[in-house]
Amino acid sequence: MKRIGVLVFIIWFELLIVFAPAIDTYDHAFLVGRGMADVPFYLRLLGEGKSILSAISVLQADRYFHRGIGHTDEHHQEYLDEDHDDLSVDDVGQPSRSKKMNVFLRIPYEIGATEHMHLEQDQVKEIIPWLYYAVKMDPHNVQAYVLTAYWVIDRLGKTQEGINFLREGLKNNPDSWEINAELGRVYFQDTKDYTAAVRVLSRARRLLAGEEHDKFQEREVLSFLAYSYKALGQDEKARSVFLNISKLFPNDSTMKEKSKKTL
Amino acid sequence: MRVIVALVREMFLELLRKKDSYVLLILMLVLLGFLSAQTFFDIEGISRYMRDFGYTLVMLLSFVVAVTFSARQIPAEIESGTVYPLLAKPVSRFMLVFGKFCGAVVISSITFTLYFGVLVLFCFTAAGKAELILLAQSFLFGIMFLSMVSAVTVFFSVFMTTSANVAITFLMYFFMISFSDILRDAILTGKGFVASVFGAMYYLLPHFDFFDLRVRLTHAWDPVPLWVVAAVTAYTVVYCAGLLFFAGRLFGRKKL
Repeated sequence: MKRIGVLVFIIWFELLIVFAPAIDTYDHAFLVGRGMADVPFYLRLLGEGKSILSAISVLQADRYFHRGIGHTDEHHQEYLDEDHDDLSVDDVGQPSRSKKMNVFLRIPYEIGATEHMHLEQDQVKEIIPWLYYAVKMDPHNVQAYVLTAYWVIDRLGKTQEGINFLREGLKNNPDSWEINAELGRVYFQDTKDYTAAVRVLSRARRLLAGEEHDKFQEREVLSFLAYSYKALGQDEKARSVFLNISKLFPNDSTMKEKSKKTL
Repeated sequence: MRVIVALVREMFLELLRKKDSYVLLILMLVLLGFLSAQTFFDIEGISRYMRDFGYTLVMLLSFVVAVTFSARQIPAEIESGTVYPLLAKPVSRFMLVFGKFCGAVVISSITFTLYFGVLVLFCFTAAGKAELILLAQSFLFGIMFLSMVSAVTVFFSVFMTTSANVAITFLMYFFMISFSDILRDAILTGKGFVASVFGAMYYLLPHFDFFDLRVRLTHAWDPVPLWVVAAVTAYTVVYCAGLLFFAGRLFGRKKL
């Protein structure tokens, strides 16, 4: 009996040695093929639901920016705008301290804060974890990359960390004009690396042309591109980009003047 | 009184004997430890998401302990037959229900205090005066929340099986936390029959949302006004008393 037990154990162990690495290799190849090899196990468990959670995480960052309070409740505002004048309203459109709202209905308003406030200065760092987790949950959430980079670089002064983060975003979303444009803006404004700015902004311009976009977005990309060319002394190219902008906004004479001055 | 103390003591010993609360405490320590080890772009002093997550965890885990402990008390006594020698002593059925409620409140409060202490150590070591008041209010609201949960669970345990009781209480908790605002809006904006139905639901269902100070605590808002603390305390006492009264009446009529 004991021998049989030992034999079964040896066979079981041999099977494990054969199958476990094979399954692991297959699993890894499967994930690499889908760009998910670096995604932690607990995020892979979420499946496609991680995109929804990522979007919620961005919204949570917005709530944090408003100190835990959501935006104005339009429902209440509509209600107040109609024929109900029994509710008073504070600055965010929430019914409050009304004579017709009994204590029971007022308690939730008193417990949850309702004042509309923004985080200021150094406090804005509190929104960063939610934006960070938004991209960790969904590395294709381009908006979250751009937003995070803005807060990290422009509001918290962590330029290099922000650039690295945008580069990571580009690795995950090489065809995103938004990330290219944001990286170009940062190279132009913060690091004054105009050569790098021209490289990524040109790419952003090319990608933008293949997608639906509004002319204000295009103007932003082209403006930084034009000024980057100008900073590099490539006036002819700068002039050409300024002219492109002026075609987008024919009634705006500023860009025409810029292109003339560049000559 | 002696009976109640004996029942509470018995439940306390059960809390020490069972591993549930220890496992949840370890889970909490691991999760908070993991979160506090996270860094974001070398930015220092990010704390609000930890407070947010920690407070939610404390409330949720205490809720789990309170529900799972209180739900099995009366059905287990009936199933094992230990309820008969208990009732053979000069103990009324109402006193038994009340004793179980007191025991549930005591054990869930002990667990809550432990978890809350861990949260304070992790997230509020440098709390200012206003935050200390808010922390004290959160603690008080936490105890009241657990009293309410215990009362609801003991009430259901008189006529439900343990699993049904746990499921219903969990559903009720998530429903009230998520949809209480919608019910209130329906009362304020609706008219006629619909408003009456939502109104009845709003006033009858237990308002677990009244005890949630997460936003205030996380985002360092001012403490809750005193009249609100008094109103919530009165609400808790009245609601619990009502539930225990009906639980006593139902248990009194129950054929054992």
